[in-house]
Amino acid sequence: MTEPKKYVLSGPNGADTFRNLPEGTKIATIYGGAGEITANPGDGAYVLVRFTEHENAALVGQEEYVFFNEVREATE
Amino acid sequence: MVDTPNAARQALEDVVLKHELEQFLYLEARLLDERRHEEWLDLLADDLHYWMPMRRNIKFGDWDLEFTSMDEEINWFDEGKDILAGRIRQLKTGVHWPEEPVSRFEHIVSNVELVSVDGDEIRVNSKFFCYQNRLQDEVNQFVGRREDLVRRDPDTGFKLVFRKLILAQNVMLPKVLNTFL
Amino acid sequence: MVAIIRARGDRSIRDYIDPERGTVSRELYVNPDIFEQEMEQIFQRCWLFLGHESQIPNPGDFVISRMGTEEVIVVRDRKDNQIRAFLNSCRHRGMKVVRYDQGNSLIFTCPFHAWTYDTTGRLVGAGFQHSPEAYCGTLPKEEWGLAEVAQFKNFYGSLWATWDPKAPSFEDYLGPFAESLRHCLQSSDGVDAGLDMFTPFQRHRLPTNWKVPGFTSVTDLTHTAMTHRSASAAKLHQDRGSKGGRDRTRNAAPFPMNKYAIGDHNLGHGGMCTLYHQPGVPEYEEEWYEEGVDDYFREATARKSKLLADKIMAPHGWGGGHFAIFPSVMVDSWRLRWWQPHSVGVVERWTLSGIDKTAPKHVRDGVRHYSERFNGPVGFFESDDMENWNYVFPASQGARARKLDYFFANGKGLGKYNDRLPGVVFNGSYTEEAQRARFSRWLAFMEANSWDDLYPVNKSADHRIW
Ligand code: FES
Ligand SMILES: [Fe+2]
Repeated sequence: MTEPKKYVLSGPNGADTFRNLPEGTKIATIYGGAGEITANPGDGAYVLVRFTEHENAALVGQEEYVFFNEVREATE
Repeated sequence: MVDTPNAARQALEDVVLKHELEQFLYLEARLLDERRHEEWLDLLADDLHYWMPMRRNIKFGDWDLEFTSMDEEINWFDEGKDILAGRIRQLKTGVHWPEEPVSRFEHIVSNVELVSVDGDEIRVNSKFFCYQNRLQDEVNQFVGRREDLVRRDPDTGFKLVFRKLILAQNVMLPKVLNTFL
Repeated sequence: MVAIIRARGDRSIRDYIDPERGTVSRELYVNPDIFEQEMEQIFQRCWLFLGHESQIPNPGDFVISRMGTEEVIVVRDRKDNQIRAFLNSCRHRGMKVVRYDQGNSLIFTCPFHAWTYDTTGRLVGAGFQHSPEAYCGTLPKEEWGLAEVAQFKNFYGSLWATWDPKAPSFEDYLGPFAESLRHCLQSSDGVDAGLDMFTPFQRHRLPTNWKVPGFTSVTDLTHTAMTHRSASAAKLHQDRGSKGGRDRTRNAAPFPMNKYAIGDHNLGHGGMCTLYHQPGVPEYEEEWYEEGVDDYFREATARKSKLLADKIMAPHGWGGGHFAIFPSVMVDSWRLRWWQPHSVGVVERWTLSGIDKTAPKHVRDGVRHYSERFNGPVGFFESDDMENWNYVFPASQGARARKLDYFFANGKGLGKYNDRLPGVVFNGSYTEEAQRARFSRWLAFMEANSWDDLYPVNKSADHRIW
């Protein structure tokens, strides 16, 4: 089993990589939330994430726009 | 590397051709500046297509949206020699108010690049800077690039067959564009 | 009681128009204070034209338009497919949110501090909204959505909005001109909302006051012979295309009609008008430069004739000349041209023209080419207008010049009401009746405290001053 690919979101290509993260990408936030990208507006600022874990339990199963610098990790 | 007689001859031919094309483009500019519009018209092929798309402000990456499409959208110019001839008739009436009194135009052409040769037809790119000075203080600048297709012609050396004008404007800031670029 | 707006010194705004002499002070065109008041009293209240639904066919499509001096985002929502319009100004600290002319978007994200809005204008995110060192999750997002227009109307495909919740319905705002506008938005065979507009907006700047073209370019028939002398001398056909010296085929049978200049002094709309005296549609006249285009329109006209066989045509539209919707939209068949004020001495001209959705390629091309070569800064017809509209401003602006008045008395006192369009004054087609109507309405807006003072919200208001 190979490890799933981690996207490099820092450095000179980070913004471009972030703008193009595909739907289905797994997202972990710096606040301990986790979920999957359901849409990427391509603005370099946000991805829309459906949460499977969230510090606010009411948001589990909900979608929220996540700001790029609240993303801890994005994996394929 | 020019290391064979054939390649050397080809390079020399290209230099000569580029020189001829420059002379053609400079002549065109001078005829317009000297208000010799009918002579300028003579440099245009009967099947000329003269096209200046509009340019949008678009999101990074939406490059196919930047220029208006020749076929479907509104362009600044998308016309043939017949319409250009009509515009010149209008310029010659003496009662075309945005050119009465006439402007002082200076068309500057530079960055001439020989792109390709296909028999009699040659692709040549260039840049234009057109300065307009009119009445006391009316000043406009039209700046951009051109992608031309010219055809060899026994009388005038070349005739212009296709011209794409890429103007560096979004909203047209001058009130009128009454010259040819 | 009506508030009197101070224009300059001690004169009230009403003192700047002399209905007896038929004059308007040049001050109204060159004074920046009056311009500021116009933006408040007129452009914050009137229904303004934004664009056409065919420009944004898909969910998430947006286009930037203007209302007065301000930009609005016109966007089709991704979920309910509704079109809405929002001020293009971030609610956080006022940055222009969208800097693109058009596109397709999930959200609109401000590049300043990343507040972001969805296609219904709701604030759906902000940079650091959850951060314990910033908003701590307390940002009341539901209160900070983009500012939405107060009323929005999709009128047979054309999009209109007003900032004033008290404005009357769009149909009431148009009054007797609603039928005319509908007619102009039909495809050439008479099908409603049957138009596709050519993208994008054609836009250019003109250094003059917005009212110079906005209040006179429909109808101003006495300007045509002189202003457009070069176009006719060069045989550039004025109407649909350039015949380039080719003779037109004129073989239509005479259709009984009369042409007028008209103005609705209560509503401010007016322009050219044709009263047809028998039901049906006049015979088609050849008028297109490009080959084959006339054939298409001849057939379309035949279909329309069947549709309207028993009906007397609307006074505008096909062959009926053009008219203006207050404050500054010129309308004729498939074409809207309007004036967006930028400052007291700068206006931007926008044009949107279209053609039947079902028209074949050669017809689309013919109409598009006509629009390109006729309109705006490269238009061989309108370029002559631009010169005159431009130099009115510097020649009227000086300390001496601005003390003079403009003459708007051509045909004053000769107009008559006509039952065919109730409330509208009919006058000779070369008179300045339409301009006078706009000044009646202009004054009413400038003096009104709110829509309660204005026709038709106030049914008994009579704004006619001359
Ligand atoms: S001004 Fe838009 S986010 Fe601050
Ligand atoms: Fe005109």
